[in-house]
Amino acid sequence: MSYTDLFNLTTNPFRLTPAVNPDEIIWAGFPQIKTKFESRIKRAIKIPNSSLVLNWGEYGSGKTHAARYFGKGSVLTQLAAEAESKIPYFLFITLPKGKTPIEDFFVSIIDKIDIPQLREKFRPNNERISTFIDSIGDNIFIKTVAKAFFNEAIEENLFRRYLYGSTNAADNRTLIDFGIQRVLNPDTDYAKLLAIIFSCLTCDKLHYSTVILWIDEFEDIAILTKVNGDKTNSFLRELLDNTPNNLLVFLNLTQSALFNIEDLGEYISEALKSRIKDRINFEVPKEQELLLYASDLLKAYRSEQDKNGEDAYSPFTDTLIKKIASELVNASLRKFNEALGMLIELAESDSQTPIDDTYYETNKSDVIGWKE
Amino acid sequence: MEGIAVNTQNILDACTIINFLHIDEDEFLIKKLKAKKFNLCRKVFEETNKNVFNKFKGSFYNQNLEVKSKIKEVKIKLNYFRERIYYPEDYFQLKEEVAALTNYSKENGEFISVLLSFYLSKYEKLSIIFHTDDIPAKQHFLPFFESENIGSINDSIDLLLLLFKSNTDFTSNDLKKYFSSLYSEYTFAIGGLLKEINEFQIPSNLIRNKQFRITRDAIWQSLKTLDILSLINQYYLVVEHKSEFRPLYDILSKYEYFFKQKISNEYLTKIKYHFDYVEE
Repeated sequence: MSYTDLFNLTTNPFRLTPAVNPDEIIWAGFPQIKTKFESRIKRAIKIPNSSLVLNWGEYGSGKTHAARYFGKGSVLTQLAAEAESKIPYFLFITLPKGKTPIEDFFVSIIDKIDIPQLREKFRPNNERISTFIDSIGDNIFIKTVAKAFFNEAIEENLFRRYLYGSTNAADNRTLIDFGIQRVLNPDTDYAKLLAIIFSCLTCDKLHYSTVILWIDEFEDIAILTKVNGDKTNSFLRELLDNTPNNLLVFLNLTQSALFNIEDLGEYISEALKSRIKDRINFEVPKEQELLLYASDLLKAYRSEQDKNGEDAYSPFTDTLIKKIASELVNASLRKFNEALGMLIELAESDSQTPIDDTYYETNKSDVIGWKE
Repeated sequence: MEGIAVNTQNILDACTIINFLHIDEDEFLIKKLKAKKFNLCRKVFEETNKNVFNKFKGSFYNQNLEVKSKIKEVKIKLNYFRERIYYPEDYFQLKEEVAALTNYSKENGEFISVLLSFYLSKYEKLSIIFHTDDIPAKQHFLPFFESENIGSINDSIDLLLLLFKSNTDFTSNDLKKYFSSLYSEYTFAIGGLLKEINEFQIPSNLIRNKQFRITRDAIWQSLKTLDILSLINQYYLVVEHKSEFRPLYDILSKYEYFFKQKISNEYLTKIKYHFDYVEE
């Protein structure tokens, strides 16, 4: 039987693999964490100062999910409306772990930027952008490249080749005609160029109120060599220093055997630490939080909403959810998800509904693991 | 009393050579090493040649230009070690004697290195430092080294310290850089595994497979507590029954090069300790 027939659900809500379709990315439970992010983003939309926020929690506590959720166009539009300003420009990347962190950082950000779309959007404001670029900084070369970024006369593919450092002699001749006379130097130019582009994107808040750069897996800085860890730090510091306004950076940090929050000082430089404005903790969920989370998630996947006489936790019950939560003992949200996800999957294959205590007890070891 | 001149000879194992090939920059370490008396057995060279490139095949390394140039560089550097293979191989005559004395039957790089160490100590009157990062091998052969007065068994960390102490142009900053690169060699794999195992979802058809679940949970537990020896045991269990544990095998086998090095938690702590010590 299908999920709808058995459980009044469109599919298994407790999946571990993240949804690809943005419409399927929903926020369930944990209202305080949601509010914290919302107010942080709204503050960034309204207040110009750039800031850095740490998101701290165990594996599977929902940090990456938070990034996906707050990167959704609909969510950002809503937050912008509430803050009575323009939408933020959102960028999500994973901390580069290669041998060349600055190049990798730059490339992963450039990869996410839709240059033609931005050029089209800023077409009516070209003059303003040009005077704005002239008004900031003293590096004429970087200013020229930043202007080229918005200049539709330079073909997009050629400009991308330039940003990736893969131009040929003919390309270089064309670029010289636009005043670009040398290649970009990763150590000195990448952070400055990104900073000036970010500043342009939020110029006069014409189209975007702020840039949100969300970096996932930042704890991997602990497994980089010291040289690459230092390079990552100075790149981020330079990016923040050169973008004094309208940049909000979120760093997702996972507690692990290799990385503890107490060791943060070993991996993040003083200069960067002083920029941290807030820390959002993803604590181990409590029973009441799990109940709210489960009911919210089940509601989002109902085939038919408010079905007559249906319990909020159906096909489970609140007592069963409490029982699973207590037997998992201080488990992460992912563990809880896995247990409910497997239980519902087994029930589907056995055509068992509702999922009661007896069914759970029979399958307990499969669901929460074997204790020997 | 007059000092007694002792002729010291370094014997290198594959894992130590592989570490040096991976962390070296601009042939700095290789050149320092070349100035030392060191040899290796043919078997160790073969194992090095076979395994030194495994790391670059991992999922986290893209086959970009940078990696290609690193592979090329390692291939060139391998020649420095090829010319230090110990010939002639007369010492193989002692194989059965050493196998009996050490109660060891596998003819791997570690055993042949011990055999060569024994030979050089006994017939060339040399004091041997055998460098290996294989902890079980070290534990197994150390009593033999002591009872036969062959010398000592050290690891890559000790070898870095030895080069640092014997070269005035090897600065404490260089040492810190190489310790951090060595640490990264191991933790890179652990970091990758942590993510992959954490995100791993038990396939529906295996939910009711008790052994599968126990193994997955044990791997996760070892990673969470950084119990490397237990993790290595889980790896060999999965490899031995790979058809049964196929989805786990597919993940773990990508990190084969890490598991084969057989390091321990103490080893990682030792790197950190020396790094912090130099920094202070």
